[in-house]
Amino acid sequence: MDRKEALWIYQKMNEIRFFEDEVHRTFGKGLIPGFVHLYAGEEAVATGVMALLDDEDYITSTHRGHGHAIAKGCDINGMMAEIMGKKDGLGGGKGGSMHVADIGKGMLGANGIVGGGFGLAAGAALTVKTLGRDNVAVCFFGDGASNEGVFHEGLNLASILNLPVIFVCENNQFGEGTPFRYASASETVAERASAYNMPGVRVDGMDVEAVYDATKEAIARAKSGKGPTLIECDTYRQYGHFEGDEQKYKTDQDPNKDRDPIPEFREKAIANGWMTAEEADAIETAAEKTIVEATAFAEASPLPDESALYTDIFA
Amino acid sequence: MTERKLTFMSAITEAMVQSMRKDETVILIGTDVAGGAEVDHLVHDDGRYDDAFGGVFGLSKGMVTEFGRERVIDTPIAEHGYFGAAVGAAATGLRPIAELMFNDFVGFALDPILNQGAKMRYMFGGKAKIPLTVRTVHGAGAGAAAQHSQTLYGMFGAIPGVKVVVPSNPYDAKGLMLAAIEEDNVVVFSEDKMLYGMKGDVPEEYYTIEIGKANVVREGTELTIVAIGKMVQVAQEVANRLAKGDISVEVIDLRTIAPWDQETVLNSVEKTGRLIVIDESNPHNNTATDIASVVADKAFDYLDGPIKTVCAPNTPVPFAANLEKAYIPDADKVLKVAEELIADLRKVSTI
Amino acid sequence: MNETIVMPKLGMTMTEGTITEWYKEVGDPVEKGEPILTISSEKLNQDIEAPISGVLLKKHGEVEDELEVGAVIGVIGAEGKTASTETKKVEQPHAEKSKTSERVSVATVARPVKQASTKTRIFITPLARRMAEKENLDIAHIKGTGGNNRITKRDIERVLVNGVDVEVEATAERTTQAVSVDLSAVGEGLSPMRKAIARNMRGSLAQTAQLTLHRKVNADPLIDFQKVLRKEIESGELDVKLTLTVLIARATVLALQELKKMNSLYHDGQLTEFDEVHLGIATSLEDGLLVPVIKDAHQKTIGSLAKEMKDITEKARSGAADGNLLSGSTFTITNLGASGIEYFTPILNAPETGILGIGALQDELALAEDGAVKSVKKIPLSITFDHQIVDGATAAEFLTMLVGYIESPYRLVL
Repeated sequence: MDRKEALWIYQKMNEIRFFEDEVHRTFGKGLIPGFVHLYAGEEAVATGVMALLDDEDYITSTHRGHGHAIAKGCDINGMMAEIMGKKDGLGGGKGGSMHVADIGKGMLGANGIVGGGFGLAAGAALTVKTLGRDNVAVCFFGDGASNEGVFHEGLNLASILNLPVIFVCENNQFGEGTPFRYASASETVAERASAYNMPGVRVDGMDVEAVYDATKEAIARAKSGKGPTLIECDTYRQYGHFEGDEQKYKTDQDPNKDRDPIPEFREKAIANGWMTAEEADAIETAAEKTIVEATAFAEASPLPDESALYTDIFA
Repeated sequence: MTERKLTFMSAITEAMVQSMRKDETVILIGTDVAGGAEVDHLVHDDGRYDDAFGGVFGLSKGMVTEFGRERVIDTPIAEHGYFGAAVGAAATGLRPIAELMFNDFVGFALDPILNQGAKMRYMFGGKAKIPLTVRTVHGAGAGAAAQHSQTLYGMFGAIPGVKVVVPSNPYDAKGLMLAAIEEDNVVVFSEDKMLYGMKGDVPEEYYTIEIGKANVVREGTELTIVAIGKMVQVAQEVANRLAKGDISVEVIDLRTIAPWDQETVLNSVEKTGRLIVIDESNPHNNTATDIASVVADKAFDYLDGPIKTVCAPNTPVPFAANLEKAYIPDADKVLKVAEELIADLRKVSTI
Repeated sequence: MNETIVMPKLGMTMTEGTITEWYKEVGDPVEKGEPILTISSEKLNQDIEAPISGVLLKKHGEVEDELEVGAVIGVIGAEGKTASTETKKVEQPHAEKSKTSERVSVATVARPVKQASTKTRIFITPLARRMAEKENLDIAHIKGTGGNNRITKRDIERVLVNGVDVEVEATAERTTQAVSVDLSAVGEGLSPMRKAIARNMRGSLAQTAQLTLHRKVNADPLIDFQKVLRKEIESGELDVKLTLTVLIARATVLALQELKKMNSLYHDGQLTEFDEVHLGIATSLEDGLLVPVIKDAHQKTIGSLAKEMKDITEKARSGAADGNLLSGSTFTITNLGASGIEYFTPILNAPETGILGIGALQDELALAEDGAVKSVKKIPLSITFDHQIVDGATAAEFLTMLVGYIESPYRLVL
């Protein structure tokens, strides 16, 4: 990791955090229809992976997808407007929080279906491979999705076809309200990789550098035609599964409960000389401003025209 | 146009081959679409691959030899996974033909079609296109029983964002398949396995048939019969038999069941005032009932009798040959139902 | 700046919440992030934290108060500030509507009180019904040859070419459709026409509440008017006979237009009043009766009424009347004057509401204004009406109107 990457990572981590805290408040005011699932606490995963991708690389995301979208470079104003169901949203207000997407940025969409991304990411990688491009597809999924049948199908297919996919599990300890230790027969998600003949690594998902390093290796492997890698990031969800979740299932003993990846990275980056405290402060201030502006933009945006109900069904 | 007879299945094969020659982003993916992957002896002398199956019905036979295993891709028997991959590939620049070996396996393949492929464009505000052709097989008559004989195109047709075509003859099969592959949308191409051996004129050149447009295969003035897939043959037989009694039947081959061609059907009903729809699906919540409801609504004042639907009964497909025959709509069943509609045409001379 | 605390939305389905406990009182200092109250919804409890540090300036609800999501619960401000009315509701910018959505106002339609429906249903396809309406055909005349004996397009086309089915029988059957009694055996053994008349008459009596009022009217002014008009019409080379019946028909048309209740049909459980007058003229045949109809009688001059009355009665007598001519009347006139009858009780041509009977011209002695005895001509009128639809007062009013026209006949041409 170099200074430039570190500054970018710290900026994106802050943007994600301010964004999610803002969405939390806005939802509370009743300005957001439907469900929202907040990413706060897991910023190290999205930024550690995305620091190594460009617009031609693909990602598939989850219902907890705001962090992935911001780190993948989606327009933050457009995201906020989309989440509020406004005309200027990335999807014209027709997708909402669970379907934030920007294919031009390689973001194939947050996904309302748990496990929806395994096949899509394999398919994007199939495109890369078939057309001979030098890119990868990253499939973000939660510990909950690791118990869907299509987890097996997606990993197996990617492995036998040597597809350039990186499966990134964000193990935030809970699938909705059920602890991972209850729902999974294997102790880790990473160890399941051996069943599909691919490397499986488990890293500290609160440590950007650990995520970054594991991803870098996986990308190199994928691009050299050796196929997919499974990376399990041990992390924690600061908010509930959805807004309004009382989080009765959380305990004081939960792994990573008292950790926060953002101050951790700030400290490390300053110590490593990647950025100064002044730069960090300036990034924080700028990130907050970005989000305040995004909210103002979204609130000012009109609702979609009624005619939009009937458009964009077929190309 | 060259006068040339091809079977229904060869017409589909030819369409796939021609589209893959024309466009290198077209791939074929599915279980055993070639078969025998990585089996050493399945290689021709010139080093090109050979196939073990070429699809369980042999429709893609020889394609792996021409296009290689990079473009004719055998998958594990894992429909959820590879249909997801087909949608993902379609969203990112390929133009896949994904085969669902029997439409009865839709349960395993459904999420990528229902929740991903059909909805991405809409959810993303028009910023995605999903040029995916889903080839699948329906229909009773082969003794394949309850889990390999169903007619489920109507299920796909109920999903906004999915187009569904059901060809009735070799000529249409080729033209509709080429059109489906050219489409920038999810198109389910549903083949009746009982038509695979049907022979007909198929031009050698590349041609497409417009999706969403029905075909009036026989013009008439007194009774409209709308039919889907192999039921078009049943409609033709009914028309021939009624013609002997001087009753003039118009037969419409629906060709596309979603979105179906309301204009052609309504125009015909406005002319004839009488409508029968033949659909091999189970009788409720299917294409026939949908057509009946739209016609009752939009052409009410033109109706000169009740709208009749002739469908399979509300049962699974039985195995025993006599039961299976009783399951499938045929000309006798249609004529029986037609009797109420044409009573006045028969009585007219006696008054 | 003051910051409002609003009732949070704790889940997709939450619409309101209840204040469970206030941890702070007005005036208490609060720290950002410090819980200041707790609220509950149907399923959840949650502490509400102060969004900023400051002072709790105002509470907008007490414990157990239920507030809508988004409603202001309290205001926090920097110390010393007052709770201004910064409780503006967060408003959604409006969408540019693609179409003005119009609320269709549905006029309340007066419906007649539906008596127990006793109608006999005629099955007819939507297409045939539409064609019949366009051609003004009474579907009761048409035999249905479709499935379930439905009338189809074929049947309408046949009737348009050949006239109504089963000729006279079907014609006379026109009013039996709403009959509740079983008429299948009525008229058995009679000629087809008599059979039809039998059913018609029995049906009419069975389905209506008939009452007849009588009144004489001084005909001298009308007779004088007839003489004047005859000269005009006959010199105009019109081959018509201007009878008193024609003039009374004209008077009837005008009265019906004023009193539309009498120009109405009640069948299939529905009462319909008409603006147009289609006048039925009861016409006797050698062994029966037909009612040919003058269509749109209200648009016709006296001359053309006279001509048409002649035409249609001749057609009816010669057997040349088709279903079209024999259907669609809204009121009927019957004249027994030629037979010397004074008063009688005509039977309604159901489903019409009224029928006017005209009796023979009577010579009567009357007192003139100067007290001298003089001879006057009088016409007896009988109006039978359906007491279900109108009352005696209305029928009497109708007769009075007729009398007004007959006694001041120049009004017939005004």
